Amino acid sequence: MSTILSTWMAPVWLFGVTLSAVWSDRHRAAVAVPLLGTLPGPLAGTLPTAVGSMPGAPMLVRRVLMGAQLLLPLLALVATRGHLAFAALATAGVIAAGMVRGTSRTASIYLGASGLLWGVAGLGVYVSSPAGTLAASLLAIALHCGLFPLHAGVAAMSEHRASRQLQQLAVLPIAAFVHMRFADNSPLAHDLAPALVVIGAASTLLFALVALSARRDMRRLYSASVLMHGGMLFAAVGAAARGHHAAAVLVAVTMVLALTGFSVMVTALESRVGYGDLTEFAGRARAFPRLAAALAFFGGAAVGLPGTAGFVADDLLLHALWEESAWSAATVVVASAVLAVATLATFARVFFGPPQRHLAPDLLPRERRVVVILMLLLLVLGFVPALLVSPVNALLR
Amino acid sequence: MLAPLTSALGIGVALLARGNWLGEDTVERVIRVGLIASLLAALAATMGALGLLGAPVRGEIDYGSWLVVGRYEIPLVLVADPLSIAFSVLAAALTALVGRFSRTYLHKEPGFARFFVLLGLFAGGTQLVAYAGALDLFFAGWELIGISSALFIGFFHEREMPARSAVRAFATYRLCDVGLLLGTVSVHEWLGSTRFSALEGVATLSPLAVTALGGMFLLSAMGKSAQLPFSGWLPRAMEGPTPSSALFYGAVSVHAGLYLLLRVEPVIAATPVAAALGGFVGIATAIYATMVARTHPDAKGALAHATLAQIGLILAEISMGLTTLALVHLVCHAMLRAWQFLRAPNMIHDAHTFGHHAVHRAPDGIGSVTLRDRLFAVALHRLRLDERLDAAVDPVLALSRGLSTMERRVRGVLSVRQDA
Repeated sequence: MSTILSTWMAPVWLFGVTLSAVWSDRHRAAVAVPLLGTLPGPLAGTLPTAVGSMPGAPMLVRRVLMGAQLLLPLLALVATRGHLAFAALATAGVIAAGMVRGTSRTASIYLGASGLLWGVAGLGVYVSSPAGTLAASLLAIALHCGLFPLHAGVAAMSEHRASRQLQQLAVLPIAAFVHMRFADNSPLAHDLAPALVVIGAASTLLFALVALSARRDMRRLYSASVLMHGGMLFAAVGAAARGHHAAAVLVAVTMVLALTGFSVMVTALESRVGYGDLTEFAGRARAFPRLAAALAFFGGAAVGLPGTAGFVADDLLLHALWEESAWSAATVVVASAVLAVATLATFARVFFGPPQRHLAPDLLPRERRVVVILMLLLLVLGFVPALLVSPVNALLR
Repeated sequence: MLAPLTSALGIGVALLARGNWLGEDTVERVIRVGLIASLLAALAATMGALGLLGAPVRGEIDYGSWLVVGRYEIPLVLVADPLSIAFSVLAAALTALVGRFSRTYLHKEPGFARFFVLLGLFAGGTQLVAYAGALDLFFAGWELIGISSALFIGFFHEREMPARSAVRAFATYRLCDVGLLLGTVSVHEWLGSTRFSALEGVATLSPLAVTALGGMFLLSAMGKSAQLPFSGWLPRAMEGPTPSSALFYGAVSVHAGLYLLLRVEPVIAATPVAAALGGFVGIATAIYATMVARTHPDAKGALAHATLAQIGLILAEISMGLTTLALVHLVCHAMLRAWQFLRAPNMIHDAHTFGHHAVHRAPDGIGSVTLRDRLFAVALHRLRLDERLDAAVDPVLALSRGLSTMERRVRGVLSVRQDA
């Protein structure tokens, strides 16, 4: 039931994005970001693994909580008051922590902590304490991004084949959006921007180098990619305090779309051939050509493949970072190049080499639907980035 | 530039959606339509620039903006000048020719459709590089060339060596591309726009800034055109099918770095340090490649090094400001090498049929036998470039492993026992 519902939700989401494009700028921003951001939620249901679990909880309760997890971030987006937006995020964070507890306790603790921090940020808005709001919101985003050394939660989720991790990704653009809207407009945020950019860039390079050592393991590469992009997003959120909102939003949305595709394909691969460290070339391209092509596309989009949203996002981010710290921009460029090399090296290790026979089928129709939707979104945003960037920028300014 | 890209995307999506139901004829026809449309468009642009279709259309042609955010803009601007038109016609004609050649050459090859999809991507990328009027657009085309190039090298992916060579070539490309990307951002921040026309204002920058810009562009060009010390990937790139070797490493892709330097010529002209470095690298590569070409045991490898030698000379010409000579040299050289690479299999067949005669002999006056032997050994081992580059990369890999271990330990400390 949940799989069927989830599969049909994705086209509905896409339709919503298209519909929102014809609205006025302000409405478009308020609708496009949550729709794109929460897309991984319904897509998560199409994965072959079970969607999150709360041991002992009845099915109805779990479904209600899943629904709440989809709706609360939407509420955070459309809320016109900061404390309400943060309260919605906090509630979503706490529910996520509960649902992921069965998969990874570390992830549960980190998600719960970020939920509590959003609660504190909401309180900060309520009592008019900009410094408290900023600190709590930034810390929550750092936990949710997996900024070094606060990355244990995100790493645990992405390495445990948890489809729940897609929902953690889904909240990121919304958290960034709410942060920029309600927590990022104080002089303190403006002053902190260069430091945040440097911290984010350093984390980006660190995880890109970690990805380089993960060349024999696709899951570990994925985990390092998520953390590396988390660093980029944190740097972008830092730069947003000085007016670079568009870069942060585009980086967040691209990260969600590309890494969701990446995650879905890695999970699909693992469900066919298992999970493991490859010491030799595994030669799976002949058995799974479509899976290989889709994985290459999403891996490319994550490192700025031209024609996809990743290219524009990287370009925009670099210009934003350069204005705060040229060295940070250079660091992110090098990190992106290193991740690209690591991605191709891992891809080659998994798919190239003497062909191996497999009884498992190539991509199933439901998986192909997910791939096509995500590809379309990445291509549309790559060719017409203004569709998302212009209204968001207008609203946040 | 959109025609080959669209045809490649169309075939790619059809393959992804429906599998291998498309026959060779269909694939080849669709891509051929894209390539021929691209060639006709290049010829039309030539006629337009010459004024044969009415008033001459030259200079920048604005199509608005790809993206505008605040004061930042990615302009959709193309440029029609002798440089862009020459490169565009050259690339379009050779790509269409190689496409036709490949139809027969790759008949019944399992990767037939993949080859043509990559060919379409490459054709779109080269046309974008040729006509781009801004560095952002140029970089998009540049990346498409790089990715398709790496995938062509790994075309016979069922063997290990092509797979390893593809990763090596891509790593060289991508790390050298850091220069172009940073150059693009710097140009925007320092000159206010990424349009090539903005580079005319480079004289207003400090000497240090101009030298840094020149160095960044030179680094990218050296990677793409396989100049020393990044020459190691080129002989490995011969693992790909012969038509792609002809197109990429004889004709178009390997010359793209030189095209970049011709495009940013105002920067190179304004910085004596970068120009001198370019001249030195070009001449050193020419000497190195000449030596290696004379000792290389296989035909395509020898041709690759002969190509490198000429590219080194063209780089030296650009560095000396002889841009017209460099452009003529580039075009003629690309055509000659495309023909030689395409003919390489026949050449080997002829050598087996009619007997092989050594063409290159060491000149008598080169010195003692010992010196000649040493030079021969040095050339045969290609200066051990690959080993030296590997040794240079080893510390980075060691750092990567160290960071990975450190990251796991930190995570272990900050995780509950179940996940640590």
